[in-house]
Amino acid sequence: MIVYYRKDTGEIVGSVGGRVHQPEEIKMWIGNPQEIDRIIIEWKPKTWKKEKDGRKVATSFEPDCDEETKPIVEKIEKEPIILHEKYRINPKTKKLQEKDREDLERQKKEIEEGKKRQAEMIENKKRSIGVVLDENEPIQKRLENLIKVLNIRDIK
Amino acid sequence: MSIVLKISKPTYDVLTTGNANLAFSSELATHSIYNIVQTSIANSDISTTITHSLDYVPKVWIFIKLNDGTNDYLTRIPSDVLNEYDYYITSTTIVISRYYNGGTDNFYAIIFTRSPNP
Repeated sequence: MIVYYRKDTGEIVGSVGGRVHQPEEIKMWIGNPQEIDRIIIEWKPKTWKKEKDGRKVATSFEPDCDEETKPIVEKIEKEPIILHEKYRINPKTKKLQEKDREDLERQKKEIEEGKKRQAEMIENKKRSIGVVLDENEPIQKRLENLIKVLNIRDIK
Repeated sequence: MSIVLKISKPTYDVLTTGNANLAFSSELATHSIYNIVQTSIANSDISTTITHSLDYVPKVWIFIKLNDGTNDYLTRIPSDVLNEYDYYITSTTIVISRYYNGGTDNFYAIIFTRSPNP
């Protein structure tokens, strides 16, 4: 897992899933490298068994990170979520950590506002499409709604 | 009994893991997923850039996370209803954009590997 975060606040801006990353994935980036840093947490063998020919074969794996972060990484893999909603990076220690109550409260408000805006946007679209198709509406109104539906700006 | 060929992604047990953790399975119509990237556009930003550096233009699906008042759900963009969102792909980047700012929008980008038969 590769987690990208703002250098100044530790706010997570995105992530790339996976336990072990190929060189091409390591080259991946999200956002402006001047403002964004990242941490990479890969998985390593935890237990081994010996084959008849003497080779050692890994039988289980665990996140290759400190003990504090390990359960968080395992939890994220079991229940994939939008990371920045529950977690942040401590920019000083560069460790993944759960957000505190204050962060979550502020975020809850933002999410509620976002949900309202998205719901309004979808509702307006549906209404506009309905009105555009409604031949009983005045042509001027239908034209206005058509402009909204088509997302045309700066019309003269 | 038919023979099935499976290859798991690193660290997953090919005999027991689910299809999501397979790099290949002869049982599935595979156009392998290169990776799934999670990203967001927040506050005054109107776009986010994922740099993939694959040196080819990959097939990509972008989903936005929405909420119907009770449950979260994902829907593909752009669509007739959600035409405020769009994206473009180059051989090095995927740029997701929105035509307004304010609030946070969360996206999943599913990036596919190069098709074996382009």
